[in-house]
Amino acid sequence: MIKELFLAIILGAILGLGVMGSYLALNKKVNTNQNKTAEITPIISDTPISITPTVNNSNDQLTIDSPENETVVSVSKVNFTGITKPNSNLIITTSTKSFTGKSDNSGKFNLAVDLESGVNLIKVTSIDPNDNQTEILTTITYSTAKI
Amino acid sequence: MKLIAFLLLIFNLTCTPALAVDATTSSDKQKDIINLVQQKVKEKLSLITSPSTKPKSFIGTITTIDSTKISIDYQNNSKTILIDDDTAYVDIKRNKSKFANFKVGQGIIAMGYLNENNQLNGKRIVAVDLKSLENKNEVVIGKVVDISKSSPIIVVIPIKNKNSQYQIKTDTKTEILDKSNTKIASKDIVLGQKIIAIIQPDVKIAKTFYASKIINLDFATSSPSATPTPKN
Repeated sequence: MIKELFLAIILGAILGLGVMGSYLALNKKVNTNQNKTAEITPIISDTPISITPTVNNSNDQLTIDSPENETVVSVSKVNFTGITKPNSNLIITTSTKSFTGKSDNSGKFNLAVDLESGVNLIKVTSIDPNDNQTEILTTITYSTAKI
Repeated sequence: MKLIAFLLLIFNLTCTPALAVDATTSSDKQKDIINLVQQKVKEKLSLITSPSTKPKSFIGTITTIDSTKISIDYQNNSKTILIDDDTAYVDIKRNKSKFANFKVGQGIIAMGYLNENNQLNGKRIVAVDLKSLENKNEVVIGKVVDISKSSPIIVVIPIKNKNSQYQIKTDTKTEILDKSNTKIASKDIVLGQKIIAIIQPDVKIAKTFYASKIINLDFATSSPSATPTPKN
């Protein structure tokens, strides 16, 4: 009887250790998978800037946030907003008029532009304090016709 | 043997449900995360692929045209406009027109809405003279190297291209500003100063540009001059 009891305890211990070992291994695998998923999530939430076409036109020195290139507007005055190098001179020209201003200390700019009726081929030029010049051409159509 | 069976039974009853619950919870969490990621990806994809609700316009010269679509080209960039019976046509004088009047080589503005393939569902096609729309303005930043005494012409050498020079004409309509956008006089431009000029080719004089605006970056408002001390 004592022999059987001793054997049962040893067998129980071995079996218990085996099951616990399996459980721990499985748990570790699940945790690893969870960690991997958690790593993916922020990457996806960080990428919309590159996949969402919010910026209509930009180069490495100048970005126009608004209005979007090839937009049709129904008002004769639009505000050009965007970012360039800090304290740059901004010159926006239509075929008949020009508008000048400066970007602020953070490089942001906001310049009101009067549009001609119909298509406006607009040149946005930025000249930074080191006299580096860059230009973007954008097309804005001013029309009150029903589209 | 009975004892072994008993021990096994106890072990099963106590450990297995706990393991099962834990595994189910982990699995549910994983499913939740996967669902969340799928939902986010779906949202972003729909943002990219859904047809635009803002009206857009394409300009260019017609390269091919048929009853369903017009292809245009502008600065070596070709685009497609889809047309149907509801598309309205306007001629160059802004009068109502029809599809048959539009031929290859005609300049147009097409207005409508973008579809998921970046083609324009054309709602309104307007004939235009593309040359007349050109923006001929140029912006130049440079140093004033010469000022004519006989005519209102200055010569500017660009800061970043010292091998070229601009002969720039001004008139009474030329707006001359200092760097804080305050109006100044044309006499306030002197040799050696750095200016930004908004110019376009002068139609009357070859190799000369007309300045619609000049910003004098080196102009400093003169301080009141000191009164000379009278000699005794």
